[in-house]
Amino acid sequence: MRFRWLNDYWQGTILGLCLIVVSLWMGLTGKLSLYIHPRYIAFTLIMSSLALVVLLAAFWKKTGHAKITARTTLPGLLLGIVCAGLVISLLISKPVPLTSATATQRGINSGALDPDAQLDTLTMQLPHSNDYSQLTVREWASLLGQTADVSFFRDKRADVTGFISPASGNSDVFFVSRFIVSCCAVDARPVGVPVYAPDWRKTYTPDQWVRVKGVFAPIKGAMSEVAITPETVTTIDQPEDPYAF
Amino acid sequence: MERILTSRIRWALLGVLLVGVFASIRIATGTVTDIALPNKLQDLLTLTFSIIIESLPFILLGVFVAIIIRVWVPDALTARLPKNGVIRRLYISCLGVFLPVCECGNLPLARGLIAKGFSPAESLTFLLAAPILNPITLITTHQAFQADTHVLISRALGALAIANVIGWLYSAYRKPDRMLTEQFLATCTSDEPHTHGRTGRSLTLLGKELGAILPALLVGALVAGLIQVLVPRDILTSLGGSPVLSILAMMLLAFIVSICSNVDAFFALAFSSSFSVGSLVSFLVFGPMIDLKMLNMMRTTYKTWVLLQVTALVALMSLALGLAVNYAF
Repeated sequence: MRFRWLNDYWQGTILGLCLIVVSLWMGLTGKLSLYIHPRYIAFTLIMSSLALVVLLAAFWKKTGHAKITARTTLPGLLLGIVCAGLVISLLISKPVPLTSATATQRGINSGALDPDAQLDTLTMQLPHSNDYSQLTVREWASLLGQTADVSFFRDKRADVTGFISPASGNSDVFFVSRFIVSCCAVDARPVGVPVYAPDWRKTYTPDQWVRVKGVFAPIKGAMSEVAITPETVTTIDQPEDPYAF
Repeated sequence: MERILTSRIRWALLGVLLVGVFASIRIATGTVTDIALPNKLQDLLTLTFSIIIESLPFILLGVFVAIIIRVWVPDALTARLPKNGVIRRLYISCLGVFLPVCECGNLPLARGLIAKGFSPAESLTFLLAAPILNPITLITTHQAFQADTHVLISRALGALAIANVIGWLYSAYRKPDRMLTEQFLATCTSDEPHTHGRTGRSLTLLGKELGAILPALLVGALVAGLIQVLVPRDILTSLGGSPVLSILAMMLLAFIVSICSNVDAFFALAFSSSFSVGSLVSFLVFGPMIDLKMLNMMRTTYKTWVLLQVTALVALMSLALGLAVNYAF
């Protein structure tokens, strides 16, 4: 069975224009960093602007005016409909970062140490050796991966910001978590710092952004593991750059 | 003359109108839309959009360069490459030095090179080598693995060897056109409209190339996003201790993640504490050559049997490379 759909030229032109407009809008409103590393933003904006001008020049030259549709097969039609659905989603959906579902699915702090946050380096960078509260979620997560020595963490102060991800296996613990992005959201690695707060679900929900202040202590019932015992947990708005780059 | 001008203005206005409609919808829904989707579905969209937006500028660059080569560069320039097959393929493997973009930008360029006279085997050599043997990828690999120089050397030499072996194997195929899809062959052989001159031909090619590649990118991104949401990554990363399984796990991860070759070394570095050096090298060689997004885009040009064979061959050679690196270091 044969159907009629946009020919290659018009499919490319319309998809191209749509993706270019979305990229430019995201770039101008600061939303691109929800999807790609900031180092690519200038390149994306330059190439999108250039392509927009060239595609509009194609309209002026009337290069595709002769025919707009072509015959296609059922798979070709379905492909076109899937593409149309995706670009419509890009046009109308609100740009948001990855959620705690992906953090849990990828495994928070699972086997990926941050090479920029080695114990010796971090200790040397701290102006006062006892002031660990300057460390970020990313740096704490790296320390937690480097040493299991409970005495190292005991009573150290933490002041961290991130979104809440439930901890698997202990309902009294949640992670203050962030994603580390190297290139784009696809490679995002979830890292987090455990917070011991029984009944936290009565007050907070997963994906809520919080700032947690407190001290590290062994978790009750699991003395070989440490978590922040919170003094304050403050809900905050999602930051403009929710990922760590 | 006046009629032509009026007609052009009408078409130009249509283009501006389309841009205006898309921009208006995006601006209007940017703040209003706040539909609470289930987390998994939301993340599927975020991951899919992320691949599309990250790849788009590289594809645009690749299409622009391909059109320049196809329409504006004299045929004599491509004919100047060495005639000896082995040396010619070695030259072609290093063409990425002049186009330091990731793999998705190289596909439109490979299509342009075939249209300009490259054989499908030579285009495969270029396509497999260029994402790795280019200055940006080599510099970022060096930055990420400064302490392990053999990672950089193994990656560069491994990519050079695999790309040339694949090119050599397929150069023996006697009916090379049969490796290419009918749709792509039609674009190479069809008479482009010459009424608009080279500028018009370039603009027509831009629309057609985007029409061939963007749908493949969108569907590839959706499939890659779906697999990322459905397959728990910690299953793969838990295999780091096994010498063979760790290599297979990192290759599978590279296949799924479809990360840009220019920065994949930083991603791989995060696994250096729990995975063998060989598995990291396999990740860094296999990923830029074959991944979910790329395979779907390559389907616009090469037949499925070619892609299945190339995937199997590259996978086997990447596995062998990883084992050799593990043995040597």
